[in-house]
Amino acid sequence: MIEIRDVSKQFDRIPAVNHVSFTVEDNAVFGLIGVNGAGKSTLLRMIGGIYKPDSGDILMDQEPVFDNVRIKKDIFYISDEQYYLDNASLTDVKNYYNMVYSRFDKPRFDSMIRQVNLDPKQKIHTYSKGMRKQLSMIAGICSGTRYLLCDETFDGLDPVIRRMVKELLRYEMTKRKFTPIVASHNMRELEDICDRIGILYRGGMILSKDLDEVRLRLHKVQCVYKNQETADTVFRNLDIIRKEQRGSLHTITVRSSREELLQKLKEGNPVFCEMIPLSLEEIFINETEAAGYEITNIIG
Amino acid sequence: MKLPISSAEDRAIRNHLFIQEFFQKAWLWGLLSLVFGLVFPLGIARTIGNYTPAEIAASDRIFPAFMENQELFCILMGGLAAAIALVQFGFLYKRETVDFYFSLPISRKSHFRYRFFSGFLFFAVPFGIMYWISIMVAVANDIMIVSCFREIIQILLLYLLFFWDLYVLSILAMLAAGNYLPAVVMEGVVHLGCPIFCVLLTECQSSFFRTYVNVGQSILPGYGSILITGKAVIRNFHRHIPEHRMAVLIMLFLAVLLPFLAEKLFLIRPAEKNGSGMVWPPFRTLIHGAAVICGGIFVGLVMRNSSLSSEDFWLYSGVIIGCLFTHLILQMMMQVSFRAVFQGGLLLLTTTFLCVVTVSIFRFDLLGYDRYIPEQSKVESIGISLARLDYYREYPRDMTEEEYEKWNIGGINSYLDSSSSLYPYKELREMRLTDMEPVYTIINYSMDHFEDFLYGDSAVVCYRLKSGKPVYRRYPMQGLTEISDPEILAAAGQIFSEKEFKNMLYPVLRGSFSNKAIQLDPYYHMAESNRTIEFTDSQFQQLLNTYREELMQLDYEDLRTTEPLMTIRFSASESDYYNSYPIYPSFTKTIEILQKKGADCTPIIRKIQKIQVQYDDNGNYRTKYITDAEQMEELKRMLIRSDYYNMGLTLKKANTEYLFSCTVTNSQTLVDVDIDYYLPENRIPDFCKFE
Repeated sequence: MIEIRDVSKQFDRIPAVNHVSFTVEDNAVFGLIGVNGAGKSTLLRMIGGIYKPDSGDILMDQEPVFDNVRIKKDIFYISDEQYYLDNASLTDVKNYYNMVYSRFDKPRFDSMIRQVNLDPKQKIHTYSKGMRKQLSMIAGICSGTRYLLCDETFDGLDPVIRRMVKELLRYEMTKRKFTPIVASHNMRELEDICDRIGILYRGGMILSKDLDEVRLRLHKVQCVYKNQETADTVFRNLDIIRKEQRGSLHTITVRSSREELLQKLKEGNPVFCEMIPLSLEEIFINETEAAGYEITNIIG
Repeated sequence: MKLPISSAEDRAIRNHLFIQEFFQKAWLWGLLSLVFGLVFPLGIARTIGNYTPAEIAASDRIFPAFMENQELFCILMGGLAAAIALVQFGFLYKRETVDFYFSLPISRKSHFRYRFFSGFLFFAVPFGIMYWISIMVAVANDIMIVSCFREIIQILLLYLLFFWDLYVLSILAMLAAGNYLPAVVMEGVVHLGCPIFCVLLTECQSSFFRTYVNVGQSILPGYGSILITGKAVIRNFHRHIPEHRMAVLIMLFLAVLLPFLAEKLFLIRPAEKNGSGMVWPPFRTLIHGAAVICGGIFVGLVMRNSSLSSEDFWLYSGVIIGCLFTHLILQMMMQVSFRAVFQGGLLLLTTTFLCVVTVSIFRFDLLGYDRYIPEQSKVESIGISLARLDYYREYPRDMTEEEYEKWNIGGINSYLDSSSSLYPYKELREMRLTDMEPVYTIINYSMDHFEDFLYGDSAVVCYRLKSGKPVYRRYPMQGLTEISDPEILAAAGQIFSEKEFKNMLYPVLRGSFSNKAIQLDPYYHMAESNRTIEFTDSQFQQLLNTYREELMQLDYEDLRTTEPLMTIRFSASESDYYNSYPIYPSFTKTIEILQKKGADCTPIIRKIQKIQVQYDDNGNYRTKYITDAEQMEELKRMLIRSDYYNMGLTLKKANTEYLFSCTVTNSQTLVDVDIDYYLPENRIPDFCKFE
């Protein structure tokens, strides 16, 4: 388990991460979501032991991560811009990681390379961005580490590979103790993979919860009532986060349990009522608004 | 919570990476091997071609090929140190490389150590291999002296020590910077900052005080810069200069201390500072401020010295322009942004103010540190050397070998200021005149009458302050033969009458002299064959004592009105050095002793048979002969020997436009000898003049 306790980091007096606290449970995909400049990469780098927090602690198994060799052997970090050794080939990379990570699985690495059709003899500096990301992901999975930190890793991958990577992550989690932490601003990518999310905005953590738990308590409903007065009466009893109306069709986002919500909606005898699945993006927008940040201010 | 220390596994990974570095950077090995191959084995090949075996065998104690291009190679080493440091630690300047390396399960300490040592070996291994190949080539060609084998090993170790220090300094510079451009600036500051600053201080003092020993030299800039020190030590290795041993000890100390400092900085250096200008803002402010002050002083001095009037306006204008210009350039380089050029106004104002203050301190001697003429109340004693009364200082007599080396190469400070090679000679440094009034009279006279040094004539003064500090000054001054002011002549006379002064002027008055055959007159002026006289030891001692007594009684007025009859040569006991000392007409007892031994003390002038007059008519030399007996007799009564005049053995005023070449025939060998004379000033007879 990784614990982040009141961690702050600033660059030239500009706070990048501001008193953030949350927990990354083992064997669950943790999605760190936020817009550009929210502090995701900085936070991820601190978790990866690259940056030292200005204050607070980042602990893994009750030990600090920074410059801790024993702990870092269980962390593999994939940066948003991959770097490899000068003039290195796949074989060089394989041998390098094998030297550094004692549990590195060389046969599996070779197998996975073949699956994605990467040429082992080709120099890596000739690879495209997407190919490099594939290689990073494969190396990360084969390193045998407990934690895999991915910074904007899914960007640049084609849909097929993206799906393959997601399946791989799931497979690893079933096979051993494995916890991916994925940072991205592309919430659609994280939607079908994350078990737990942390929403960052301007260096602060707005929300850190299981995704299912969030979905259990946040619903989006489209409904039609006979008249506006009835609708208003019903809505008055609900904890509405967001409301839109087009003619008589009301679209509301409500914080409540599903059963309780349905019961209250039925009290008004709606002409039409349907629960619509909330996307991660909508959850993000609703939660940031709930935290007091207007969507218009965020998206400009 | 206490962090775990580096484990055995961590060390194992470090060792693997250490080895992996070599193969990854094989190109660096090849390049350096090529460079060293050009320097050493080819250097030997050039030596074989340039020197004969006999010359090589007779050369200095150390193998000459290792001396060729040594200075250039030392400079090259500075560049190599910086380049290798950039290769090994340049990863700190890019985010992707920082992410990659610092995310690995390797401790920061291991990161530093494997990079540090592999970088050092990149230089040391090819260098050592080429060095030994050179030795084998030398041995194979029979041009290496076996006895210098130990010194060759010492030089090899010295090179490695030198490189180690430069390499660590380069790493320190890189750790302070956040990007390549500021890193290069920092490298320059680290390698050259101290000598540049000291050169500027020296120039400040040279421009305003014209002193010998000054702040720039007194803080031993060689020790402030390993680049300069190491170069000097290696270049002069074979001279075994004692101060250089201290320099090597300092380099060893730094070799132990600096890597620890570098490792510490590496550990605390924030990883996120890649791409920025300087990592630690206070550091940046310090470097920036120092650089701006140096730039301001430099431009100020250039403008002052370049302008025709040398007025302060140009000096201070240059200071302001230099500060502004340096600030703008540094802002752009350190902050890696053109927009930053116009920032840092407060820093610019502060450093400009400090620069003006620094220059003003020198210009107006605000601290009273280095007055051109020290206050008399602060002076305990004085040594002075006057033009025309300093003949015997030309030769480094009575110096130990170490003092000679220092005098010859100007000491450690000579690379800064060539005039510092005028290392005050021993006699002047030991002179203790306590009657300072006549000295100050002469000095004040020179300050009132002379602006520039006239034809090299000067008065050199050594003040020994009551604080114990020796201060050396040089004042423009005419030769004593050119001065008519009775007050100055009286002051010079007072100085001349001091025993301390005479002891300086005439080395014969101190030290021991051996009873070698005495020679009268410089040999090339010998008109008589019997000019070499042998004495018994007791006779020699009597002669020496008598001469010393009469020389001590020599009056200043004698110098001004008479000239020596002849010169006598005494040889120092511990060396082959000798000097020819004057025998004036007043030295009656000395003359008597010589005459008893058969010496002919008749003035040569009486034996002149022919006189040729030569006149310098604006480069066109005109000559004629004086043959009339009466005219010749008239001239003989006035003639002044030019060599005695030039040596300062007489202070008679002479007209040097007319040269009288007088022929004297050796009565025994019948060989004619020409001796040159002048006539006294304003006493040229009409029959000597040219139309």
